[in-house]
Amino acid sequence: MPTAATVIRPREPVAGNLTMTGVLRSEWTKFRSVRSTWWLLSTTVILTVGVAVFVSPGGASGKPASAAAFARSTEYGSVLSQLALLVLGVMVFTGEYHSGMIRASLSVVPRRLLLLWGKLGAFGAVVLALSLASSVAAFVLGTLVHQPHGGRAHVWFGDPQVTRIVIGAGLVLAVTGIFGLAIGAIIRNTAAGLSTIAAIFFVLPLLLRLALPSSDQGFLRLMPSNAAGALWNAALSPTSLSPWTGFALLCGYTAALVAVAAWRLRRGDA
Amino acid sequence: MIEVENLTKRYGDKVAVDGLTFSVAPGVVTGFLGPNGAGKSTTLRMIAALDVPTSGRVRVNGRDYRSSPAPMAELGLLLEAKAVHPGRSARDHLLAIGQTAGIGKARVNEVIEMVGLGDVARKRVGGFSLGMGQRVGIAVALLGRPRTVVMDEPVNGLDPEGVRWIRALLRTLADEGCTVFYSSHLMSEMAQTATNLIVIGRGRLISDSTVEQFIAKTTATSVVVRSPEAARLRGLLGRADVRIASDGPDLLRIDGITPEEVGTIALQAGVPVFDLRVERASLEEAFMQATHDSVEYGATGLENL
Repeated sequence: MPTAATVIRPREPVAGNLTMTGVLRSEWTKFRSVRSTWWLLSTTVILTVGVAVFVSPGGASGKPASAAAFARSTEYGSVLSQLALLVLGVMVFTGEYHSGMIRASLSVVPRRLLLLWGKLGAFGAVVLALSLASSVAAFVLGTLVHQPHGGRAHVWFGDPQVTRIVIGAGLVLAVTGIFGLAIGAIIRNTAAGLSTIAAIFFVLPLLLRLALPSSDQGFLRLMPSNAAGALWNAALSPTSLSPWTGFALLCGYTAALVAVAAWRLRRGDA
Repeated sequence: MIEVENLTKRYGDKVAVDGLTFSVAPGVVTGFLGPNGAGKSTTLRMIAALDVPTSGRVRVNGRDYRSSPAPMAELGLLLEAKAVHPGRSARDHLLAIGQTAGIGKARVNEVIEMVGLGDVARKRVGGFSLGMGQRVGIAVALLGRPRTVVMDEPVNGLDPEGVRWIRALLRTLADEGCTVFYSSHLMSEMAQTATNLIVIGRGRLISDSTVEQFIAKTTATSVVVRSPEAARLRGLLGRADVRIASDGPDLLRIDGITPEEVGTIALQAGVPVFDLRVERASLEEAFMQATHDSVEYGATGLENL
């Protein structure tokens, strides 16, 4: 029984329970309310679709390309927009660590993993929708612009190869963004996170290709960037993994990074 | 209610907080004092479950904060000014924080008005002054109408008007039954606001009492007398347990004696007295006295200025 002196005058409560839905909404608000989000999302769409529209498929040779090769050529822009989504993904967490907001965020979400799932959910949903929309748009617009001039057989979604390439390019783009998010959550610093991304996706594969004798290059296909390409861009490299194996490997890398991020977020000081 | 039990935090071999035990009661304002590096911020972060204690435990309103179903209803926290993404508006920042607990725009707008940010709530926080950033942080702490409020240096960067406002705010919260725990280095300000006081130094508890008790027990209360015959009075008062200092040709500062005794002795000897008063040490003096052994980052003097 509280004594008279400790009776608390009840105040109308305004805060409800901490819920996953609440955290998802909160993360969406954070995501939509900074400008860099919209710059990088627009960049993703413009690069993906723009390359399909403005870059002629099949190169200068003018030879009729296969349906798959044509579909691939409409998705080349996604290699560039991967970079934009990696940057955006990294900044989802590093932005909070940089400003110190992470402590405000975690102080209202003391069950810390909820924050990770919330960010993953909000970012993942937006990026997946946008990546698929832009890879489909790139193919459709690329087909409309370039097909009549090529004199090739009509290329459209009925072809299972084409469907895999178009949808696959979008899926890979989205998973790459999440890969960036996990790197940001682990490294917590924007500059270091972006350098790591650049090293993993661009510098390391190039260095290994130059440094290793050609007989030892088989494992290059296990690099995240090449695993990502396997699903839709396989013809670039004859030693590539089969499409879905490559995609599974990329998802595996991403899941492993998310697991490390969860472990790191949960145990230490914020 | 905040209960801190045997709380210890080590970074490598440096001990930041060393076996702290104290509790903070609801319904009063409790101040938190300590020299720089004493472990105040670390303690506050552990209360909010942001830092993980090496050992010991903290309970907020009777439970581990991490297991609270409605954290925002339990604890409101202000740690550092402008812990906000500079590109985000104050309103979106508060909305994002509130949405985790189902708090919507109506309450966000209410709190924005309450802290006086109505005119700038839609502007990017990056352009805010320190004081405005501080108000954003205070708004975050109050957003969920929590039962316990913890603030690290809430008056930092505020103008005198803002300092008075914070003082009234903390008192009102306490009157409503909230547990209010805050740190400040402005001791005159804290002396006016806080009723209870926790003092730490080098991560250890130095004092846990009311502000008045703290001042009384750490410093002597002096009697100050002004008399044209100060030298003669000095001779009359000479006793083993009385310490006398001259503050001027006609001014004596006397420790270890009551003003009644001084007045009576002066009257009996016919010594004219123009001024007779009791001087209590300020909280600042008491604090210096209590913590001079435990100053972590002390300046070494001004010789090399």
